[in-house]
Amino acid sequence: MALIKRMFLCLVILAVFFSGKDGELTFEEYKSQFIAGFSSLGIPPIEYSYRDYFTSIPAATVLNSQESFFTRQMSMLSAVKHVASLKGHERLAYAHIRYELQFNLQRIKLEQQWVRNGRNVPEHGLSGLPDNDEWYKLFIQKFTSVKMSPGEVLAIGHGEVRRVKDEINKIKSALGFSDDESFYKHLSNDSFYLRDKEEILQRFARADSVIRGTLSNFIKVPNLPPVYAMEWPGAGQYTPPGIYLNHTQNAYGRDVFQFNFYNNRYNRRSLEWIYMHEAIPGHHLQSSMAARTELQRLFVYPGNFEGWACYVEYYGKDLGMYKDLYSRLGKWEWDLVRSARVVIDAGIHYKGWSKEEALAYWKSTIPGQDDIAEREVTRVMNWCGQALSYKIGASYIEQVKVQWLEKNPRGSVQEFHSGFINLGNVPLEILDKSSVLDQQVD
Amino acid sequence: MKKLLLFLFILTTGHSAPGQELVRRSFLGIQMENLNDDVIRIMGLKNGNGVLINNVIQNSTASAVGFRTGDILLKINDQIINSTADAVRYVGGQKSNTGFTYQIMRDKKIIEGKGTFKPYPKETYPDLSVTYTEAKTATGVQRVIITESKKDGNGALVVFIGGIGCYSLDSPLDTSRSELQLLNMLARSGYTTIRIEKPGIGDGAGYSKPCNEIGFHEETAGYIDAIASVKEQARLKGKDIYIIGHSMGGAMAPLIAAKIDVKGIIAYGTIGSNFMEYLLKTRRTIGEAYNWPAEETDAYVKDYCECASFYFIEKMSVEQAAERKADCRDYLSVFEARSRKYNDELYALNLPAIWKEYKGRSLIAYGQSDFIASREDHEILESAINKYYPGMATLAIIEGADHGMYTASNFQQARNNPGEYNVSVGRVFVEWLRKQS
Repeated sequence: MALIKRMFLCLVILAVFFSGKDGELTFEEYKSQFIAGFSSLGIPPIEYSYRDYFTSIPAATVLNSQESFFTRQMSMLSAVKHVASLKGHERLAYAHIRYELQFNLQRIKLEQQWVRNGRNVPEHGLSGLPDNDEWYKLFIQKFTSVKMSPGEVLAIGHGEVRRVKDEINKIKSALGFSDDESFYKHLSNDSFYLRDKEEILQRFARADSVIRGTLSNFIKVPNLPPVYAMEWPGAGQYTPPGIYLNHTQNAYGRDVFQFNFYNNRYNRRSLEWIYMHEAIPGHHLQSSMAARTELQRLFVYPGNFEGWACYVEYYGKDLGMYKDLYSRLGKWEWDLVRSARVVIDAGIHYKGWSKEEALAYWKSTIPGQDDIAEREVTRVMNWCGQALSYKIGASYIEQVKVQWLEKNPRGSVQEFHSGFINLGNVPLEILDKSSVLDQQVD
Repeated sequence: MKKLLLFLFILTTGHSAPGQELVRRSFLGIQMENLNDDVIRIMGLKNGNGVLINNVIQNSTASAVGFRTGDILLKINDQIINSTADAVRYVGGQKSNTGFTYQIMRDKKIIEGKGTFKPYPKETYPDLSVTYTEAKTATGVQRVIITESKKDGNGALVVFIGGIGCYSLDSPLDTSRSELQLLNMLARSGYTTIRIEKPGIGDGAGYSKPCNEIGFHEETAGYIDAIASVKEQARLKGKDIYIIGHSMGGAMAPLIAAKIDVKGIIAYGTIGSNFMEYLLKTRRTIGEAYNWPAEETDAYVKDYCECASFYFIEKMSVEQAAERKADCRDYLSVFEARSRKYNDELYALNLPAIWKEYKGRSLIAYGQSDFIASREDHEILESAINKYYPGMATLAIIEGADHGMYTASNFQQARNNPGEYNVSVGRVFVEWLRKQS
C-alpha cells in the first residue's frame, strides 16, 4: 500500500510539474500536491509525551527523505504563480503551508542530529539534551504554534503569575480578608461544594442560557447547536475539572461537556469559567463554527484551540457571568494554576529543575492546591510544552486583537472574534505574518 | 484503573466441551458503558435498556458483524443485556466458535443479526516465541503460556505465579502490563518463562474449577501440578526451575517448592507475617497513600481490625459483620472475591514456618512505593530465612516501584497515577537469577 501511495504521489508531482508554464504551479495545484505528499509521509499529528515523541522519531533514512520532501516543497512554493493576488482562504493556506515547511525543516534538522548522537531519550525532561535550547524552542512552537524563546516564555509565565495573584488579592480584600491563612481556610470550606447533580446541571443550563443571550456582545454567530452537560464517567480526584467532546469524539453522537463530579461534589467557584472554556464561547463554539479545510485537517494546534478557550474566560463579565466575586475568583484560581505551569514547564525543560524544585515552586506559588501538585508537575514533566498552549495561546490572541483594533479603529471586538474563529485551525504565528485576518473580517 | 476496565470489558466467551485441548477463548471485542441517567437524557432514549458500545476493536467478532461505536447492545441470543456486568457474565459463559444472534439499537432503530464468535488474539513478538499449552491439574485443565527468545532461548525455567485476585495473565491486547513486560524481559535475557493461568480463568473457564470457589491450597496444588506437567515436556526436561511469586503468589512459592525441585524463589510485594498483622500494617500505608489525617487513619485501622476479627476469628459472614458494625460491609467486601475456604486457609498460614521448609535461595523484593504490601513483612521474611539458613535470602528494596511493578515515586502516586512498568524490577530479578547459575 505504501508503495502504491508513493507512486501516486510521484505521479501527482510529475503531473503538476508539467502542467504550469516553466514548471510553475498555480497555488491550487501546489496545495493539492502538498496535501497528497504530506499525507503520504505518515507524520503523526502530535505526540503529547515527549518520551513517546522521541522514541517515535524514525530512522535517518526516513528523516532524509522527509527533508528532501520539505526542501523541494519550499522551492516549489517559492515558484508558485500569482502569490500577490491570492485572497482570503487561499492566502491563509499559503501562509499556513509556509509555516509548516519551515517548522518541519527545523524539526528534521534537530531530529537528524539527535539520531546521529545515539537516540538518547532524556529521563527528566528536555534539559537533559545537549542542544536543549533549540529543542525547547521547537516544543514551544509545536504546542503554541508561536515562535518564542524560552526566556520569553519564562517572562510571560512570571508576569502572569504576578498579575493573577494581584487579581486574587483584590478579590481577597473585597471579601474582607486581610491574611492568606484565613482566606484559604475559608475557600476550603465544604459549603463551596455542590453535591446535588441536578442542581449542577441546572446551573450549567442557566449559564448556557445567559451566555447565548449575551453572545452577540462577544461574537457574531448564527445559532449554535446545543451542548449537553453530563458527569464525566469514571472521573477521579485527579481528573481535570471538565472536558469537551464533540459529536465525532464520543459514543453519544452529541456535543457534550463533561464535568468532574468525583466524590459527588463540584466546586461552585469553577462553574462559570469552565463552562465558558469547554462549551460557549470556548471549545464548543469553536468546534461548531470553524469549518476545517482539507489542509487544516492535517495539523493540530493546541495554541489555537486551548488559547482561544483560555482567552474567552476573560470575557465572563460581557457574557453575563462572574456576577459574584467567588465565580470571578474561581477563574483566577485556575488561571494561577495555568500561569504557574508555564513557569514550571520552562523550569523543568529549559532550566533543568528537578521534580522537587518544581514542586517547591508550586507550593510557594499556589496556595490551597497542594493536593494536585504531584499530578500537575508530573504532567508538565511528561508533556513538555503542552501546558504552554493555554496561556501563551491566549496571550498571543490578545496581542493580535490589540494590533488589529489599532489598525482597524472602526472595527469591533465582535468582528475580530468572528474573524478569528472563521480562520479555522491555523497556527497562531501566521496571524501577524499575513493580512488574512483583515480580509476575513472584512 | 483504565487498564483494569479495558481488561474487564473486552468480552471473552467460553469453550467447547472439556476433555479436549483447550479451545482459544472467543473475542467479542467491545468496550461498553452503562446507560445511566446522563446517557439516557443526552441520547434521548426512552429507557436504560442495553449498554452503550463506546469502542469496537478491530478484527474482533463485533467488528465482523458490524457493531459501531454508539450502538446500544440490547440482546445476545435470548439474553437481555441491561448492564456491562450482564454482558460480561452472559458472554463469558458462551461457547466459542459458535453462532449467536444479537439485537442492537442504532439511531433509535432496532437491528437484528447473527454472527460467529472469533477466537481471542494471541501475543506475537518479532523476537520471542509464545506457546499456548495446557496442564491437567487438581482443579481441572489450566492454560499455560510459555515465552522464550527465538534466538537465545533454552535457558532455565522461570514460573510466574500471580496475586490473590481471580485475573488472567493472558493479555495480548495490552502487552504493556507489568507481568508481560517483566516476563518478556526475562525471555530476552535467555530464560524460558512460564505463566500459569488461575483455575477457571481465561481459556480455562469451564475446564477448571472457578477461581472464586476454590481454596488457597487447592489453587496452589493446581500450580504444582501444572509445573510438574510442563517440566516433563521434552524440550524443558531437566532444566533448573525458578519461581516468581507476585504478591500472594509469594506465599504460594515456598509451598510449591515443597513439592517441586526449585532452584530459587523470587517473592515480590508479598506477605511475610500472619494475615491479620499484614492487614493492620497495610491499612496504615493505605491511609498514607490516601493522605488521610493521622487521626482518621488510626480510626480506620482500629475499625478495620474489629471487622477483620468478626470475619476471620469469629467466622462471621460479611453480612453478619455488617450487622454488628455497618462499615464492615465496605471493609470486608473485598474478601468476597475469594471463597470463605480460601480466606480461612490464608488466615491460618504461618509464613515463616512455611519458608522454613524451603532450603533454597530466595530474593525477597519490595517496591518502595508499594502500599499494598508492607516493607516490614519483607524484612521479617529475609531475617527469618537467614536465621534458618544463613546467607540464603537476599532483601531488595526497589526504588520507584509500586505493588503492580509500575513506576511511582511514592504511595500517593502509586494510588493515583502510576506510570509504566518499572524496568528496575526486571533488572534486579535478572541480576539475582544470573548470580544463581
